[in-house]
Amino acid sequence: MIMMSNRDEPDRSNPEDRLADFEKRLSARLESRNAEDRKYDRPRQGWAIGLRYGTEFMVGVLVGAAIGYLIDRVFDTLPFGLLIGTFLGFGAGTMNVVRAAKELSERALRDN
Amino acid sequence: MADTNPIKQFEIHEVAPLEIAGLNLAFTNSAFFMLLATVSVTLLMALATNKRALVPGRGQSIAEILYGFVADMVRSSAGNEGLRFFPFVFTLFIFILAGNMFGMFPYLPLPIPGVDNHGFTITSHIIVTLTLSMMVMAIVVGFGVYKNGFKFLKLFVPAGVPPILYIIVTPIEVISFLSRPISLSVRLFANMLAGHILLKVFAGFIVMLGAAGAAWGIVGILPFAMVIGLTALEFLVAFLQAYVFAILTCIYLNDALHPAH
Repeated sequence: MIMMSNRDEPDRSNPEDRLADFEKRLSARLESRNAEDRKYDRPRQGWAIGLRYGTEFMVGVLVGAAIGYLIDRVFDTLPFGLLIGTFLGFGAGTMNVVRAAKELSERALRDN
Repeated sequence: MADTNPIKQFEIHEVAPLEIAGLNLAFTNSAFFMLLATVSVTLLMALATNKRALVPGRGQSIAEILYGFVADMVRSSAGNEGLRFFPFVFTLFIFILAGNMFGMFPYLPLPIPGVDNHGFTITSHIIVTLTLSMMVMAIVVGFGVYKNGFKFLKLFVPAGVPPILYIIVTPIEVISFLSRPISLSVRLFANMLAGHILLKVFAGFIVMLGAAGAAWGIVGILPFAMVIGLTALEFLVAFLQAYVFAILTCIYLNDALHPAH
């Protein structure tokens, strides 16, 4: 006990020093822990994002084609409605993907 | 040999038959799992919040973390105005999460004797996920028209486009809008379906290798390791898909609040 007080270390008996010391150690630990977490988060999210882009695009094309086909059935104009619908569906699918990418990059910017 | 059919888990069984006006309204195992999800979440929330302590206990912490998590999600994608939809988004999120998590039980016996017992994931049926996403779209369209009137249609006429291009842009916007409920429901359904089939296929390999006799049983360690890994992945997917469903709901609700952006 007497030997300890001779050193340059923070005084353990002073509550405020102990708290500050604890804060310092805790924040250092948290920092390294968060860095570790981020490392593991990236690939998993990438997998989910890839799936999301895939469905967004596929669904756009499918819905476009379905609407075109329905118009064909009503007006008896097969195959022109289907063709135009699929064409527009590609556009809608691409727009879905662009929107998803924009929104995800905005969120990534906000998080970092 | 044991049944290794990987899609048996998706079968619907009648638990209590009920027929009204020629419609089969039987209480099925699917309905049972929905009820289980709803009741358990309600109980958890009621138990967690009935003390209302200033310093939260374990249960109350769970409830508060869930509340904070969903509230942050709503606020960050639909703004403070979007908080009026908080109860809806919270219910959706927690219902899907509970349904996904109860689906992770490989064997969960129903308390009724004589019924074929197997685990069941409600979100692995597209009729369930499509109903949920149609509910979201009904609220987006209903509230959007109620609040903005005809201005809601601005959603299909984006600003800053040369007038001639509206011939192409408007149909594309309409198709894009109509594709939302489908992408929302298909993503959740496909993730749960594919994940659970994969899990059961690899689990089936263990049984088959074990039944093949002799040294083949040792090879069964390989699919067993795979099943352990896949189970962990499925827990992640169960949470992630509930989260994705809820956050996309918030983004779509934001369109209802501010159609011209």
